[in-house]
Amino acid sequence: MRITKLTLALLTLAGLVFVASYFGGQSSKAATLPDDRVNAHWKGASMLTPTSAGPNPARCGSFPENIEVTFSGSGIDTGGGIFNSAASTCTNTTTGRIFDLKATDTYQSGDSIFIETDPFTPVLNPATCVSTNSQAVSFRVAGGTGAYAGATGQGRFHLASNDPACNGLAAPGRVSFEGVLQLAQ
Amino acid sequence: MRLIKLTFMAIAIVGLTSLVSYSNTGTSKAAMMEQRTNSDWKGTESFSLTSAGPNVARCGAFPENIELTFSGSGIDTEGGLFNVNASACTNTTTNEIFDLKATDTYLQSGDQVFIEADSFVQVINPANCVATNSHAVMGRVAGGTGGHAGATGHARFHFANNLTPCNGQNAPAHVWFEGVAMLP
Repeated sequence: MRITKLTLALLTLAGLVFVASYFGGQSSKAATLPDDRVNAHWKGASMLTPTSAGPNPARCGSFPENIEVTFSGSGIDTGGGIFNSAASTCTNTTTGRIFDLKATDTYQSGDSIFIETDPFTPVLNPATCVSTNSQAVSFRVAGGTGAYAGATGQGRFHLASNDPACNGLAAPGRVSFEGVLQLAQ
Repeated sequence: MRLIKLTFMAIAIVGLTSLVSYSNTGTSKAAMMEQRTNSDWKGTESFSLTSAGPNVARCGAFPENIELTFSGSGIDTEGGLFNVNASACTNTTTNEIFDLKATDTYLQSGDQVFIEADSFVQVINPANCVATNSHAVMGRVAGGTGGHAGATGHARFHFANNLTPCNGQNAPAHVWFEGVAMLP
């Protein structure tokens, strides 16, 4: 009798685990998006390659101390999946400061989000030729298009790029980020 | 008299500032000792699937479990640009990824670091076809070669990859991490 009870208990337990597992698997969207319009676990990564560099005094300040650099690349995030990215920024060639960095990430759906970041000064390690931010850099979502029109949000990102002048190697810069994405109501 | 006292105080402050500054730069030996620990180890990489198939000895019964191999590239603050070769087992029923091992080979030095990650279950969002970890995944440095022989350390990893069967798109998986790397 005891063995029967134990068997039944185990079967019940196994059934409960299965049910929990089933619902756990199906409710992944709910788990990550308690409110469909707020993604509190927004994260992703991308690769960017410089496409042009030149003067833009109106935006960046006097040339040649300040230049405008544009980038293109691709990545993936939990907000909209894989995306293409187009970015531009100003940089002070004397101090290395990067400022007015703006990016547009365009998802497979055709919808875009607009990103604006705080200024920061990457630090170059001459031993590894890696240039990176010493502290996480804050950014904001400044709207978008399609489903992301009026989107807001913020996060922190990290950037690491190889300095080709240091080792002669060309490679895309890489960005990773985490934050919160909120769609307009 | 007050002016003289003020002057002496100002000179003393300047002297102390110089001393502190000198002492800070004079501790280069201590700084070098600490260079064996990279407490700001971080990086990002991307890789693509190169093969998938049975490996019962490593991964368990097939077809429930399969072995995946990947190759790609990335950059980190420990050695700069690197190529990566990775392999893992996955349970196709539960989406658990386990026995994930990677070898990062730095382009500049040729050194390698060996990484082993804890198992985790990918969460799939069918709305955007992204599979990702719900919580940071712990990984360990399990040695290496060259200047990284005997390396240790640990990091928290994040994964995001596009599910090709979901949207028909091929795109590399992205991984990024932060942690500590230590050389012996």
